[in-house]
Amino acid sequence: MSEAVLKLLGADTMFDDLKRMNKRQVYYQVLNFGMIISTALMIWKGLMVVTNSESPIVVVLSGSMEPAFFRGDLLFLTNHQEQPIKVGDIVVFKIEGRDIPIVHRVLQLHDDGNNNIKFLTKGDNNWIDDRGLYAPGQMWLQPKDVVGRAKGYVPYIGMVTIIMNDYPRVKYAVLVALAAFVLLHRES
Amino acid sequence: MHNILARLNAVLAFSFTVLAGLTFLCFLTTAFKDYSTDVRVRDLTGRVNVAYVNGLGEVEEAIITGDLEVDLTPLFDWNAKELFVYLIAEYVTPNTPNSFNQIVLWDRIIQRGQPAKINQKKFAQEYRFLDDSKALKANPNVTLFLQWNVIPNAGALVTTRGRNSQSIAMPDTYTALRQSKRA
Amino acid sequence: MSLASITDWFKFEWAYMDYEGQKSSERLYQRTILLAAAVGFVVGYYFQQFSYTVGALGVGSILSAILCGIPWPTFRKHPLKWQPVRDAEENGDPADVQNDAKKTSVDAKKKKKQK
Repeated sequence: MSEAVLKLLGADTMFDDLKRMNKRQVYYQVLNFGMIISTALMIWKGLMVVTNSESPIVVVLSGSMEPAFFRGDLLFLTNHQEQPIKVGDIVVFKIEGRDIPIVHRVLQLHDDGNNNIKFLTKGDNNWIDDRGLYAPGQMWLQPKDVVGRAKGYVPYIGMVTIIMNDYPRVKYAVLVALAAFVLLHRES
Repeated sequence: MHNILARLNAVLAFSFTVLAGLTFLCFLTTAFKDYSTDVRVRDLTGRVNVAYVNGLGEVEEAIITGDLEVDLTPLFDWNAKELFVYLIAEYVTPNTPNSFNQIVLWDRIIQRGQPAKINQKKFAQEYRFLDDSKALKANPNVTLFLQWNVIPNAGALVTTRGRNSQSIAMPDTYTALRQSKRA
Repeated sequence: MSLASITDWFKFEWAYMDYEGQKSSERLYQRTILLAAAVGFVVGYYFQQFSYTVGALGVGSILSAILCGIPWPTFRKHPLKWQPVRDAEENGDPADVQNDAKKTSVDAKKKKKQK
């Protein structure tokens, strides 16, 4: 039965290429794979340099900024320190001691002129400000907590990341399939 | 292309690529658009009082109200999904050069298709306006701006300030901010 | 009708398109989708509603899937020229033909040596 399905999908010839490969071919495929990975990493690092942010692209994980951003949307961040944070900016920040970045909007800002800047944030879809989310005793955020400011937006594309986070098996399956495809597919 | 699945797969992949291209073109058509428009903020009145006292001193609170009128309908082009509109009060702390404070007093979400005309008489301030550096009483210049954040279908997130602003001088005495509920 | 022969029929006979047909089918779906996209873009821009553009593209995609996925007769006008079926009894299997060729060359070498 499974043979029939494979035949129907045209996948029964999938491993024929592999059987025809010799050692040199295998080395070539592995190097090709390595080149693809390094190119992707270089593009990512290049983005980090241009935007001055440690994570230039983030996926929206919660619904606290609806209806502007939904789970699965993609945000492009920059973190140019010369640009002062203003009220209304959408900032991505991390609370000390916690890994998960939060995407919310700046509600209040106080700058005393001596580089002591403190600000308060709130999600568009939340009823109250974020003080409940900050570390115990923390009333304000500071610029050092900010990972970046959202400057660009693309809907839906990050859904893949959400699915892979919620269902780890899908992530492993996708990685294995991707590696298999790159390693086994021969350019004729 | 040798069987139905291969052909359908090709059609689907091509469609998605074309969709991405169309979205990018849509973004390009609105990339350099100026989203500002005239705003009318009038008849502002403000009151100041002491909210509470903490370890660092008195924390003041202010309530500002007035009339707010703006028509945002022309801003909804085909790449504008939502407008996040907010009214901010900007002021400088006296005796502290280079200081800068901003507070959001009021905000509203307008989505495409919803009425985009705002005409608030004596708007209700939605967030507590607190300050802990004695900056509110008798502050001669608290300026109110209306700003909006344009959330696109895809593309750059743009924040624009409305044209015209209004300033108000805060009173130099403390008055009760809210009607006391006690008899 | 075994399951294998049903899938073979599905894959090779029912969904069959010859090479010329595949080429013209590919051209057709590309042009249809691009045309739908262009029309959708203009309509969407005029009414300032991007949903019109996406809708037009969706219609174009479904149309392409039907026009180019299903093997209409126009895509079968240049059938492949198969070799005539060789009768198995006369000359043996194709494998045997190879062995015959090898035999004759080995015989030729032997004859050369003998000479």
